[in-house]
Amino acid sequence: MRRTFKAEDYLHLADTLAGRTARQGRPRTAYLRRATSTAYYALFHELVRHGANRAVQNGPEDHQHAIGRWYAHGNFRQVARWVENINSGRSAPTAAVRLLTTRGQVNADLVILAISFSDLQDARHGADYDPDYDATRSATLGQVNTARSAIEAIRRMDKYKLHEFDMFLLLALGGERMLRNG
Amino acid sequence: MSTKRQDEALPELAAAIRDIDVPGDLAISNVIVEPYRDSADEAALRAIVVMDGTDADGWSAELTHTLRTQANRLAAEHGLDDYVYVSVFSEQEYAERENETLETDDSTEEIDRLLSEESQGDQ
Repeated sequence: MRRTFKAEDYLHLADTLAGRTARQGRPRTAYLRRATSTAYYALFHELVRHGANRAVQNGPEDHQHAIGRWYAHGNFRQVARWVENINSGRSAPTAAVRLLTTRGQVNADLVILAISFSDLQDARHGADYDPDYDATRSATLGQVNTARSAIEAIRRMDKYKLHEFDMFLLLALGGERMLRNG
Repeated sequence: MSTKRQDEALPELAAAIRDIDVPGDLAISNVIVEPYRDSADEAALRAIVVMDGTDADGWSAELTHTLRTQANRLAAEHGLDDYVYVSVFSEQEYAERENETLETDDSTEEIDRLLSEESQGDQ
């Protein structure tokens, strides 16, 4: 038996740890740090799930699990950075621009996903490893809000079968290596 | 970008971020932009944005998305290639950063109770 979990379970846990329902005072720093980490993993696992599902489609479930394990945090970060660079007017590899845009524009939901991923990943790293990381209740709940918003953006892109989202997921399988022979 | 040029550009970027039209009822009261090393140890910038109030439900995604996208567009316009991470604080939270240790209160007991109830419900 496989014990499954959903992004909503992580988001609910992160909300609880950060004191959204407790509604009073300032939770202990350790709780806030775990909430930040949990919010990031809600988004990471949702991305991996969609990447594997869209690649395998109606194929065997064990193929989805195999592909899901190919995704790495750093490669998602790299592709997210390309999206952000294109959106902010900075340079990005020509192939990435070609694959991630339509007529030079980046889809708004893809921007929400990219910028949320980058900030949550950096916050997760701080929360897990940096003794000086400054965990506040409003910022931590804000990170859960960011993760929830990015997951909604993923589901809209999935529902409307956005081609650039497929390219994002494809590029995220190999990051920079994917473009070397382009 | 040279160090001198960045020294000039960071206060200009902070002033530009302060003028961002943010969604919601709160306004930006102060912005500081400083060099930062991110989780991949890459050179980046961090914009500390201080708001004139707080939100009991946490900073909204609309607020933080607006700040993050606009801060990076403004940085590119100012010739800054480094990615800008944005950290949002209320004025009180920002003032508390100077304290060595902060008192926590008993709100964690309420969280523990909620977690305990839920784990019992799963059994």
